[in-house]
Amino acid sequence: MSTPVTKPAFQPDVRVGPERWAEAYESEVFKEISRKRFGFVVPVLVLFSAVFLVLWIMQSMFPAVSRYRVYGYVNVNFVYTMAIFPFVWILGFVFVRYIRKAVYPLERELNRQFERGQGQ
Amino acid sequence: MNKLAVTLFLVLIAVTLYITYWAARRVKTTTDFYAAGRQIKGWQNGLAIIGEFLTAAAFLGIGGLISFWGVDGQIYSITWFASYLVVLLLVAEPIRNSGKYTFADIVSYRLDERIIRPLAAINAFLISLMYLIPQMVAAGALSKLLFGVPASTGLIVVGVLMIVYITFGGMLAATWIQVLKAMILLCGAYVLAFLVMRQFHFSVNALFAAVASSKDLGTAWLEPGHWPLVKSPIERLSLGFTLLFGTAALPHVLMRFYTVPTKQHAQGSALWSLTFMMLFHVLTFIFGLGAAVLVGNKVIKALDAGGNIAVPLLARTVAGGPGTLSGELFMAFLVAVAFITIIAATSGLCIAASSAFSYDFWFRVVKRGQQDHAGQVRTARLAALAIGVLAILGGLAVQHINVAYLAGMAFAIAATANLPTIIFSLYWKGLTTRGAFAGMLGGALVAVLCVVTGPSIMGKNALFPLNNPGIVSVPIGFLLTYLGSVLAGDKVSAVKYQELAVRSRSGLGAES
Repeated sequence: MSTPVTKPAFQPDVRVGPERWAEAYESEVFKEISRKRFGFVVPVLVLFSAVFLVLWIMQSMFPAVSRYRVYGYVNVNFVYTMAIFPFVWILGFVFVRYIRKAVYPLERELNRQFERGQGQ
Repeated sequence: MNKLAVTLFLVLIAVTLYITYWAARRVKTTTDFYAAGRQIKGWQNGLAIIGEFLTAAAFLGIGGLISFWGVDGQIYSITWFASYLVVLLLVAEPIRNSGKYTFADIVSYRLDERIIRPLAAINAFLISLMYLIPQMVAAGALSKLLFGVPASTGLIVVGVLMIVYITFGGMLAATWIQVLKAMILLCGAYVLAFLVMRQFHFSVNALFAAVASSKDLGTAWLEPGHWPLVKSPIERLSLGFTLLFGTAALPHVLMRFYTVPTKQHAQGSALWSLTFMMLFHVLTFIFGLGAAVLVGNKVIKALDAGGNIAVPLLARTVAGGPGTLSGELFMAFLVAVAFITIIAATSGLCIAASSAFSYDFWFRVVKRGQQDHAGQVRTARLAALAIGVLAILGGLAVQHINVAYLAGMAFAIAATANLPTIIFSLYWKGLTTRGAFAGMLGGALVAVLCVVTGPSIMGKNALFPLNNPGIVSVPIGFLLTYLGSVLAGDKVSAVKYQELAVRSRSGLGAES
């Protein structure tokens, strides 16, 4: 395959032709990496967006729910808003743990295959 | 003039100048200048990232906003904080894996660099400058308010210091100044929160009860819907949406992920920034409501209609009150920290703007990648100097005009023009040069048009109804990029996609 006309953003450490990248892209290990990444990221983003959507809808369209007092003057809006902090942080923490445990070993395997020139 | 605040400010300036001197001796190559030699650890970069984001708007602005309008002001706290999850999930690691210094490295990777890189550079330059000028104007206004010096003097001092930091110390100096600032800011914030909550026996309910029973406040301060700007559901949704997803496309934030040595550090730094952001933003309601009760929002309004003085006044009140040594000292400390906050934030923006010009435009496009390290560093330093001078002159020219909309416009352009191209570059095989061109140029124009014809500029005669156009403009940006791509195929881009996908998701061949 001929060299693409577009130049890479930088000279990579691994200087290989496009056919090797295509081989790595088509390899089972890389497909598994992509599956595992997207399998986590997409549902988390949907959940994350839904949590914020519920907050903004509640604040704008259901003021009675937002104002409902849970304890003393502490209302549902405050509890929900403050709960978002640990919720989002936990999502981030779990993501990092998951990637390091489930994806990084596959990446090391891909790296080994790539260096050996055995993308499949 | 608050002499105590000026003295503390000068001490902090001396420390930052020493950091710059230390960094200047180490900056030899372009990687040192643009990416701090890729030697920054994850937690350090996490602190530097929140340093970029904890500007005067976050430190002084949110507290003031909550003291004036109640808990609606928390929308900035939770969205700015949560936007780092989007950064962590979608861009932190891929950016580190497949770029070198700027976000243009990613978007031009598989496309025609001669077309896309200059466009990305112009976008990054404009976004950084639009962010920079309001910061400079705010610095001037705050220096008048906090130190009692003319606004133009404060603006020039900030501009000159920013030029010195970046011209001599590059990203290395900017990073360590951000780290220092973030640590001092977090410590100051926790001491302040402790002193405020002590007044209420460390009970949130007692603080809320004081708000509810205050004759100037009331339960409205504890409930959403009080702040006119987010009264409309669409406006609230649009503001939140733009802030949540726009961060992942801000050039000065993305640049930070090149300063770490590996993808693990990039990922770690995003998690650290999420952690530090949480540690700060969980406190903002204490500052805002505490100031409203203990200082009184009428007192704050009388001194500063923008509310930026609320947090320093609260510090003085809870640390002993006006006229006491402890009260004046703590207020002076927070004032000095606030000013350092502005200078550090402007430094980050200055290096993003200068790298857009010197690396993306000058080195990659004009010089076609043919310039030695010394020449590149010299160009980068000259660009930083020029941008600093431009920011000072721009700030002085518009200091009497309300330019807060410029920051909103910068966010809108980032989310509308850059985000679709970054996301499609990394995750969609079908992206083409024409698609990216349509998305970046069209998206930027749509974002600017929405803001210019919106209520923040045209007031009641606005043609576009929203102050924050994100909910309309971002989908348009994605649509333009998609349509431009499907209408014109690009085999080279599709082939290069395989390389970029493998690199960005696995870290193969990443810069070290």
